[in-house]
Amino acid sequence: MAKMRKIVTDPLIDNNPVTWQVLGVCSALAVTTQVKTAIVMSLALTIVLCCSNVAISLLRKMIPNKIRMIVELCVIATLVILADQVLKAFMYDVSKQLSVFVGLIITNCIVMGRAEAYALQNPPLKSLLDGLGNGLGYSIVLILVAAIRELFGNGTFLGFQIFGDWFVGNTLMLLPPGAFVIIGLLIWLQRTFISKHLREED
Amino acid sequence: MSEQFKIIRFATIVCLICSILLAVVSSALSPRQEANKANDIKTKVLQVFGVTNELGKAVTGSAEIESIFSERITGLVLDAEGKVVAGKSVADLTPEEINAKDKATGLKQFYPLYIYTDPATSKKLYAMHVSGKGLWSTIKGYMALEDDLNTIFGMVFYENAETPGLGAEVEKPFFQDQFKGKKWLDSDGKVAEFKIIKPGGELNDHAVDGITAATMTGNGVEVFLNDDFTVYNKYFTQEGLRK
Repeated sequence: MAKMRKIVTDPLIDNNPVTWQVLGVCSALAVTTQVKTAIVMSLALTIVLCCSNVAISLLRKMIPNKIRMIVELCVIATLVILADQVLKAFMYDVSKQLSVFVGLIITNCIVMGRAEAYALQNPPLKSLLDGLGNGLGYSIVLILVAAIRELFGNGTFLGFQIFGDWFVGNTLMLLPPGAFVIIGLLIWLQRTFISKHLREED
Repeated sequence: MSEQFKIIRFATIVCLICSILLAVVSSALSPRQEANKANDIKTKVLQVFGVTNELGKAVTGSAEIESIFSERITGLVLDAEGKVVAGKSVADLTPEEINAKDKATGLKQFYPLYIYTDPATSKKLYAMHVSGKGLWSTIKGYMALEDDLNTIFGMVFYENAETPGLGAEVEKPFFQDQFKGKKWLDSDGKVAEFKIIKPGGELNDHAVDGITAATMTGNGVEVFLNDDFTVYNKYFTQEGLRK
C-alpha cells in the first residue's frame, strides 16, 4: 500500500515531470496565462496520461517490440483526439482558447515518456497510479505558474478581480518569457530547498 | 506464422480499433459541436453590435441569444456581385455556407449582411462577415458599420489558427478595439484602401497598428478586409443606402 502511494506522491514534488525531469515545458509555457485554461489543460493531460498508461500496460505483452513506439503513438493520438472532440462539444470556449495545445498533448514528452518508461514494464493498476501521479505533478506546476501569471499579469484569479484599480498589469507575465522566468525560479527553488536530499545523492 | 505477419496483424487491429472509436465518437458529438459553432457565430454578431446583458457582460445563454437575434436583427445574404440572394436568410445560414467558396471564381458564395435595430433609438447598425487567408489559416470575423456605412462601429475576429501568441492575437481586444471609429471613405467620399501598418508607422483614419511579429497575418487581414468591403460596398451603392 505504501508502495502504491509512493507511485502517486513521488512525481508530485520530488520527481516532478516538469520541474525535476523538465518534460512537457512547451505546453506549460503556452497555456498558463489563465488559471482556467491551465486547469482544463491539466485535466485533459491527466486523463489522457492515465488512459494511455492503462492501455499500453494492457497491451504490453502483445505489442511487437519493433513497432512499439508507433503503437504507443497511435494509442496516445487516439486518446488526445477524443479529448479534443469532447472539449469541442462540451467546453467550446475553453477549447478555442486552448486551440492547438490540446492536440499537442500527442507530442507531450510526459505521455510518451511514461508509456515507454513505466507502462511497458508494469501492470495496469500501477500504470494508472503512475499516470495519475505524473498528471497531478504536471497539474501542480501548471496551475501554480498560471496563478502567478494571471495574478501579476492581469490582477485576477480565475477571472475574479483580486487587486484594485491601482494595479498595473505586468505584461512580461503574460508573454511566454514570463513563464520561462517563473518555471526557472520554481526549478531553482525546488533544487535548492525542497528536494535538496535528492540532489546530494546524485 | 512469421514474425512479420504478426506485426502486420497487430498493427492492423490497433489501427482498426482506433479508427472505429474515433469515427463513432466524432459522429456522436458532431451535432453538439455544430450547435456550439452556430451559437458562437450569433454570439459574435451580438458582440460586434455591442449587445450586452443587464450586467454589461456578453450574452451567452442560447435562449437569450435566440430571442435577441430574432427581435432585433434582420439581414440579407448577398452574392459576390453585391446582389441579394433570394431565398436565403442570415439566421439559417450555416457556418459552412458562410465560408463556402465558388469553385469557378474562388470567391465566397455568400456575404451575409446583418442589420441591427436598436430597440431604444431605432438606430441601425450593419455587420459584414469578413474572412480570408492569414499566414497559416483562414481568419474569420465580423465588422460592424454605423448607419453612415462608413464609420466602423466594431470589429470581432472569431476564428483563426495563426501562430498562438503572435498572429492569433488578432482576436485580442487590443487589436480589435483599434478599428472602432476608423473610416472606409476618404474626405471625397471615395473608398480608401484600409491598411494594417507596422507598429510605429503613421496612423490615419484608414489604418490600424499591426501586431508585432505577425506582419504576414496583418497583410492577409488587410487584403481580405478590402476585398470583402468592396463586395458589400457594391450593394450599398446600388441600393443608394448611403446618404
